[in-house]
Order: sequence, then C-alpha cells, then structure tokens
Amino acid sequence: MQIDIKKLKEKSEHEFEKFFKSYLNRIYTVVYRIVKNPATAEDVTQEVMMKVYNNIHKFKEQSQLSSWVFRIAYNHAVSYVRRHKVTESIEDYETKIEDHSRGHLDYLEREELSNYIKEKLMELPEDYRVALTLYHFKEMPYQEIAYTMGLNIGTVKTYIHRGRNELKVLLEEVIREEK
Amino acid sequence: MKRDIKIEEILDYVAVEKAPDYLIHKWKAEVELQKERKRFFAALLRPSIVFPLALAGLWYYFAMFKKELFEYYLVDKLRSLFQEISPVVADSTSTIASSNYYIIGAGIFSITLAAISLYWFYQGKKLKYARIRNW
Repeated sequence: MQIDIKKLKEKSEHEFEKFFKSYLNRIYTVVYRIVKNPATAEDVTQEVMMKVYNNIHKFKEQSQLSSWVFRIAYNHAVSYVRRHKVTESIEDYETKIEDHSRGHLDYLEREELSNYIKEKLMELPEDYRVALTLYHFKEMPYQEIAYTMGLNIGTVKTYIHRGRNELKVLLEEVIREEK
Repeated sequence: MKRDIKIEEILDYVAVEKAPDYLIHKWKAEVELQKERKRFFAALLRPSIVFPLALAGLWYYFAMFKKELFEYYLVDKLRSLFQEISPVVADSTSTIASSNYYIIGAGIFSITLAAISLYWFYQGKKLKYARIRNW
C-alpha cells in the first residue's frame, strides 16, 4: 500500500488511517514482544499511534517510514517497561509452561503449536526476541532493524543468530529441524 | 512425535500478532478529543495574552499621564484600605507610591506583566495550542 508522506505531514486523517490499518499489527507486535501483556500492549500501542500522529513533522525521511514508526514503538515500549517495571510473574509463567509440557504435544493443533512457540519466543531475552521479530517482518533489512533498535548491524546479526539458536533449544521438544 | 518444521518457517508464522481492530477507532476518538482540547486552549490563549498586556498598558498610562489619580488611589485609597488590616503594609505602599521611584516601579511592574503574557504565549505555542488553523 502506497502511503503519501506529504499527506501524513499535513495531518490527513484518511492517510493516517490507511497507514495504521496496514501497520497496526506490526506496531502492536513490537510493543507486545516487549511488554509481554496484551492489555498493556494495547494501551502502549495507542500511545505510540498518538505519538506518531503528533510527531510526524519530525520524520526526516532519511529512513523508511515504517522503521521510524517501529523505532518510536520500540523506544516507547522499552521506556514504559522501565517506568512501570512490567514483569511477568515467574510463577505464572512456570504454570503455563508446565501446562504445555503435561499436554499431548504430539496432538497439538496448529493454533496451539503457534501459541506454544510464541510463549517460548517470549522466554528469549528482550533484545533477541525483538530483533528476531523485526527480522521476520519480511521487508526489514538488518540496517533498518539496527536503526529501530538503536544498535549497530553487527550486534543485530549476533542477536538474531543467538536468538534463533536459543529458540531451537527451547523448541526441541516439539520440532525437529528439516535438513 | 516431533514435527518437521524449519525454524525460519516457525518464526515467519508467529512473527506478527493480531492487534484488535478497535485500536484504530480509539485512535480516531483520541484525535478528535485532542482537537477539542486544542480548540479550548486556543480560545484561552488570546485573552491570556491581551489581558496582562492591557493591564500593563493601563498601569503605565496612569503612572505616567494621570499621576494625581494614580497617587490618589495608590496612596490615599490603598492606605485607608490597608490601615484596618495592616498599618505596616499601608505605610510601605504609600511610601513607595509617593516616592520619586514609583514611575520606575510602575515601569518594572508593566514590563513584568508583559513578560508574563509573553511567557504564556510561548508556553501556549510550545504546547501547540497556537497551531490551530484559522486562529
């Protein structure tokens, strides 16, 4: 979908709506991967949308618009977590994992498997899971991920590599990698 | 039984979460609310500049050109007003007003009021209340 940046800077609500409709899921995902709570992720996403709307005039067009927005989402979510000390209770988390381990993993349906993988993804360190998530947004090259997270490209590559390896270990109970 | 899946495929599959659609509607409502707030504060901005400036101008006009009236109110009236409450305040007010420095004082007071009104204006601008079109 083609987004007209000039119209965005003129605060065209129609253009913003178009933009948010195509990017909402990805903005929400970046936030959710950091705050780890759906209700909080909704609130923070809402704040990110307002921040993008109010600060669009500051977008210098030196990067992709999407990367600029993801950077806002990333920074906002990280500072939200720091401000509110959002942490999932370890007990809750262990219960969830135990539930899955007890279940019949062989018979896990696609949706359940997907939820299980997402839970395991959430077990990775914050930087690893955000870098991996952004990398799998398809169109995000390393350079854009580095810009979004405020890191250099080498670090991003390391995080993605380590994250992938750690996830493989966490998922070895349910998957066998194809050769 | 383990499944044969590539880790890349898994990550592609779980990469994007589904956000609730109502977030778009909430955003639109929030934008409308923000516009209303801006309209309200924009309406307050003009009087908040004009009123202190007008007051400063009036003060300066009376201090400079209507000295007798100024002295009458500042020395006599204020003295009688404050005499009941605080003779010390009444004495110092009339001493200041009847001294040769009152014009300087009045000037400082006018400038202070003008500065406050400008501060209000720039605060309003900073808070984007002045960005409303057709204001």
